[in-house]
Amino acid sequence: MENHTFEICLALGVVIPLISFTILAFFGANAPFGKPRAAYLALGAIASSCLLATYVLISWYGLSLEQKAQLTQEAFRYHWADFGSISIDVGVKLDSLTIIMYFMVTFIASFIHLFSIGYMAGHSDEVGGECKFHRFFAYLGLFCFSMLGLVISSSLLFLFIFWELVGLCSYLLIGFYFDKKFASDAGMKAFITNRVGDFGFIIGLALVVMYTKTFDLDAAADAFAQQFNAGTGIFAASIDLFGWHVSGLTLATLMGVGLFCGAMGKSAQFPLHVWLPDAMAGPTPVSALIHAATMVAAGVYLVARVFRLLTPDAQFVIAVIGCITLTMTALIAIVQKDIKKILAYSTLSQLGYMVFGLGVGAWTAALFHLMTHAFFKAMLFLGSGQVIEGCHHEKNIMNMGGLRKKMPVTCWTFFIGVLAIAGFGIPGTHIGLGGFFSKDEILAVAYERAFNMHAEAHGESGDSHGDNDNHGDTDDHGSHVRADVGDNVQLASAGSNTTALLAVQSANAMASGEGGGHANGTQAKMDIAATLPQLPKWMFWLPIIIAYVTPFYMMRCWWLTFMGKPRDQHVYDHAHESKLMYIPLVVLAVGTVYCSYWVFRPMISQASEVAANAPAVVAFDGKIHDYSEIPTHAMMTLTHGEGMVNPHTALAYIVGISWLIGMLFAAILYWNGPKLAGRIKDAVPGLAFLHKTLENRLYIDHVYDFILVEGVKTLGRLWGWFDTNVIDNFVDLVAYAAKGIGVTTGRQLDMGVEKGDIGLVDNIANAIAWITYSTGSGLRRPQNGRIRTYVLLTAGAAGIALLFVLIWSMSSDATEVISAASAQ
Amino acid sequence: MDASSILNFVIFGPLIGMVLVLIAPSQYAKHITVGTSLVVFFLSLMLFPNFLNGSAFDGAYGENMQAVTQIDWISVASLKIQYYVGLDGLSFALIILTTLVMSLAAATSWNFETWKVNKGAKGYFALFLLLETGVLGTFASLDFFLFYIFWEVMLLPMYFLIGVWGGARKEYAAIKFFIYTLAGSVLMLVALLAMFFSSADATGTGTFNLLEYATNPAITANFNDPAHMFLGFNFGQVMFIFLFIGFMIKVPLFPFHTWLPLAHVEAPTPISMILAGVLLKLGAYGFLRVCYPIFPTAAMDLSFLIATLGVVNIIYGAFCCLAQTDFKRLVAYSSISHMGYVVLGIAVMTDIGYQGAMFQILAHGISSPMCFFLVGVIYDRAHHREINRFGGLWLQMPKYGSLATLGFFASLGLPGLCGFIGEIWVLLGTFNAQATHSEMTWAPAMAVVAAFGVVLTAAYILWMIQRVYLGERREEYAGFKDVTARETAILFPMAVLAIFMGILPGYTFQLMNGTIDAVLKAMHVSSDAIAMAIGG
Amino acid sequence: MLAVGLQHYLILSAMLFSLGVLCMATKRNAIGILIGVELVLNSANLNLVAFSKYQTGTGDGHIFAVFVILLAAAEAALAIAIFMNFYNNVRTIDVDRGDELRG
Repeated sequence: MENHTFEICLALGVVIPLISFTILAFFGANAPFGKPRAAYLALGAIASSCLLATYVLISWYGLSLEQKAQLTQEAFRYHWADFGSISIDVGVKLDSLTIIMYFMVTFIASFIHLFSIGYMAGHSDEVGGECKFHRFFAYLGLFCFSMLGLVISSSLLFLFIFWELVGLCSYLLIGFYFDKKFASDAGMKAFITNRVGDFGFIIGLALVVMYTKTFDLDAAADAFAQQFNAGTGIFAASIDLFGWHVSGLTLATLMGVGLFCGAMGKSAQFPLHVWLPDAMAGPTPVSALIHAATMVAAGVYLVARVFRLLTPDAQFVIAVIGCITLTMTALIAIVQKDIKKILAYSTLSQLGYMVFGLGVGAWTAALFHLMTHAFFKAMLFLGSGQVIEGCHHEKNIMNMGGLRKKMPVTCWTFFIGVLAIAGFGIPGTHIGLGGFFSKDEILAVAYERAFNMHAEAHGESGDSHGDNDNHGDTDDHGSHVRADVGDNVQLASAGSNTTALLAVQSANAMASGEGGGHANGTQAKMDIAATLPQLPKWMFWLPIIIAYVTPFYMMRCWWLTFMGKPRDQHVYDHAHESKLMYIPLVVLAVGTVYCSYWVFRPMISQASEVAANAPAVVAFDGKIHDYSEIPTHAMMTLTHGEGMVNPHTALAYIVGISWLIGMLFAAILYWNGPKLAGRIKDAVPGLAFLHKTLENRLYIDHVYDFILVEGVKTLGRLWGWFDTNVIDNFVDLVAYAAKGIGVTTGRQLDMGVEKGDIGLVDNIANAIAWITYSTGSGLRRPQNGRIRTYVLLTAGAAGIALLFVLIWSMSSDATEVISAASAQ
Repeated sequence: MDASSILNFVIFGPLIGMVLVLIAPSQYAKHITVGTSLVVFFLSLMLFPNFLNGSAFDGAYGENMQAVTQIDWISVASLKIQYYVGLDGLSFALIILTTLVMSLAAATSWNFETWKVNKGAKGYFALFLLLETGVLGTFASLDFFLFYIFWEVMLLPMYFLIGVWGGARKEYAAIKFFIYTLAGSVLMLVALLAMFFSSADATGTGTFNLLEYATNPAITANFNDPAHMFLGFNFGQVMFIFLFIGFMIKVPLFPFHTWLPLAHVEAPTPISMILAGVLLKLGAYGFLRVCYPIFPTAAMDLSFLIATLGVVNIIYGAFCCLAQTDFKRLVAYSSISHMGYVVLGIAVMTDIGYQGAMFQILAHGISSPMCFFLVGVIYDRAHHREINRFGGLWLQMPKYGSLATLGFFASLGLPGLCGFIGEIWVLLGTFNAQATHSEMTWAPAMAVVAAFGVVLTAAYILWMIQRVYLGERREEYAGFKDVTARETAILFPMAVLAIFMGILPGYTFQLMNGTIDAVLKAMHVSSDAIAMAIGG
Repeated sequence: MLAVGLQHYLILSAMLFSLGVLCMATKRNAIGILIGVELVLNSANLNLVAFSKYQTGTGDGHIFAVFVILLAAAEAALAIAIFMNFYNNVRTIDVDRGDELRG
């Protein structure tokens, strides 16, 4: 059965926003596209994409696993170009993850378009007095096109192409108010920081292509698994990087880390996180759509997509980076005063959670968190947009307060968002918002990785693993894994853990994740659990602590904005709520409450099953659950073997009450505005210093500015100076030496040696020219313009020539000719 | 008309135009030039139906030539010089590019009367058309002697075009250009003669046929023989280096790049467009047509050095861009940086590297004239090019701002635009080079350094965009009009091509892939034969 | 009486040539130079005719001589035109005043 309806729908949905962009870009400024019409066109475009996505989502939901697997396999591929002998195909990666991401993007984007109509009506005039209303919606269309293209790409190259295009849109939209220096600075910072990440991406991409000989995501992962099993390809290869000999598993790790570098840029992970807070210079709907819900999640999406290409070591790196990011940014968020900056830092922190989740192997949970986060963070940003708009561009929460009376809808939808990000829920039940479940699930996996897993794995699968003693050994685990590779005997044996990791992946890929494949997969997956390096304990505790910090700073933000007494009467008096912007807020709030868990969670876990994308994920519960089991609360009800205590029960309470404690603490502290907190800060020694450090973002931006930005510019200047002065002067010497030879008189060549950039050959060339010139000027003396001189010269020359002929002819046959002639 | 007569018309059509320009009154010179270049462009497009699917070029190297004209030209004693022109995948796309860029440059010269130096319209346009013949002839000729002659024909018009109609320091720039290129030509001439006499040693009758040099087993064996000495050095290596230097000056490669920024800064806008869009490509084309197929062994021996030069060009050019404050100089240095990718792609001698290099040649041939034209547009209005004095131009000239963003992003290598494909192909191809040539262990490191150029490129382009186009509107530029219809008409084809090549590179690749495979195969065969001979 | 042979013609021709060159080299008057040129040309004519008579026996030399006479006439016309212009510009036909071609 060849059925391409889904792909056609999805592809169409990608193209429609592009059409909208094209129309607006060419004709947007013209009369028929006045202000509202441009917006309606863009809104219509994305809404139709959303309808298509809804259709696909619903139809997909009704299909059986076999049908889905078949559709995934039969997806259409169009030959795009040849890369050497490798064919690059364009196609739709049709699976549950694509569809759910696609739906999320179109859905949120539609409502943000709607919100923007109201928002931009008041803002578009800021740009140079001319109406740039249509330009905003054109960019949004281009963004939707690129983002959706990124989501459906089946090829890593196309993923990269759209990846860059969303970066471009981000650049254009951050710098939308480009007449302001800070806006264009922020746009540039975002783009260049992302390019640094892309540098890694390109290297990762190069390694993937080099060894798997394909750009296709699935094919590459299959080839990778196969190579692992056979100990060939990348696992038998070695390359030389500046004398660093990289081979085997390290090389494979490098590949994974390289790809992750791209994600680090786009998802703003430490140390490339600096651009995201600055990106808040863009219009607020853009912050909501691009810098909270969709584009910044692209990095996470990428890691999820290439998950099967990641070695345990690469995953560990990812987990470490995620852990650092989520901790650091959450701490910074505590002290921020700008409402958008707080949200930006909380976005960073949540992205850190997702990346951390992927790093520890919680594939499903991380993506689940992505979905829930997209909804509530978009809503929070729109809420902040309302506040900023209502308060006449006041962004400082210290000047707000008491706004709940003036903008009740914003206030309470914002509160729902705060609850969601705080992880509101009641442990042990199914009551709770998305963030509650997703964060809990990530932490549960982290717990497994940090404490339980290795012991269990030993206990349960000890029979087949008696020979492996290093399992629990964190320190040299990496080397243990590496030692396995290349040893074919060990590779061939079923007892080799590392082999099992990928063997299962490939097995899953072939079995398409259902039916009988599971039964014997169980043991193998236990093996996987045992092979992954154990996490250091701090990597579990830090996220737990931050789970308490998150509700605190979010509550602080909400409380200072909406509760208490107005601190700036002027701002308070002006505050108002725009009716047009209600709908998106309410819809997203409903989505936050309802959709996230009941719709997304099963879809994502389906994706993990069907695409065989994350065998490691399901390994941690010790048994394979069919996706139909999943709606019963995933991690909390898991059992680990018969009769064992469920460690997650305790964990669930530790995490589960964090929202309550954090929020209560914030509410008490800021009950009457920020004064109490200020006094505490002054009273406790060291706190003021800490506060200042955090306020300055740990000085990371300063360091970058100093070392990188100024450094590169200085290097450029130095280089330019070197080009003009050092090379030049050195070459001048050579040139003067050359001039000294032969020519002593004559006028200096009028060209002069200019202070441009002059290379070696240049001066030599100049010297040659000069020699020629001087010789010429010596010879030009007889050329005085007097005919008589010329005649004399000619006659003299003729005379000399005659003389020569005569002398020469004395002893030659020429004499005979002349004498013969005279004799006649 | 069959393909070969079309090709001949394309090559010499500009000469007819030149004669017309000289005869007609000078106020019609520009009409004739634009007309001629357009006719030549459409004639060259008429070649397309013959080769559209690209498979016409798929045969073995040397036998896959299309549109061939081969007649004896000068036959004196053993000297047998032929008029031998033809097309294959390497040259066909470049011919089209040349005729297109020339037409656009001719249209750019339309406002000749308003230039600072606007005397001698006849001379300008006549030289312009002579230049076109020179370039087209170089791309099409398959006889080395003919190649050399066209190469020199191209040199002189360029000298005058810069030296007479240029900016403040035009004479200096022109003489610099002339001497650099001439120095290269001299080395090429030496190689030309040495190769002719060596080929006479090998086969009995000497030849100038470039294809025979690469494919005749007797000649390749002689040329690449490690025991064959020239002035005490290995013949193949010496010849390769001579030719390489000759061509690298044109590319231009570090350290012979210094003529380029100067020539660009002084040259009038259309001449800059031609210089960047077409003339630089001649150097790279010389590598592909002359250096590499004929001396594969030397190329392999020196590949590390050449790749290093390519990488240095990329990084060096990008850093120099960061230091520039003259708009045109910045674009000129960016050309240097971009041509580095071409050289790197060629240096690794793999199919992917070649594809990337060829694509980058074409992509840069589209994007750099566009950038220079964009600079010209603003220079026509502001009469200066100081980047730091600009600002807010996007608000002042919205259409121009949008087109400029497109052009500079194409140059930056944004996916979806032409610059990206060449860059990524070269980078990945370099990284992969080890798979084809196991001795190239340095290739991944080279690719890593080159990939860093991607970051620098973004930095200097965006910084420039910020300083010139973004920011608040300025009083002093309040009178500037947006792009005129003529300017839009010139920018539009380049913008469309930049997008087309970026989105559907397959069509461009189709034209050259067959030939690239053939060339590489021929190189492989000849270097294998040498290896066998040494081993035996 | 001594028979007149080739040698006599050649000597006469050489003398004429020398006088012509001397005239060109010494005269400052443009017309004088023109006369010198005519002398040189005619000495050449004499040579051509003499060689033709004594050496080859064909009429080639005569034909050449006719050509040269023709050319000399054309040249004289041109030269005088140039002198007219020259005179119009500098009010003299002293050739030393016309040194603008000096390199």
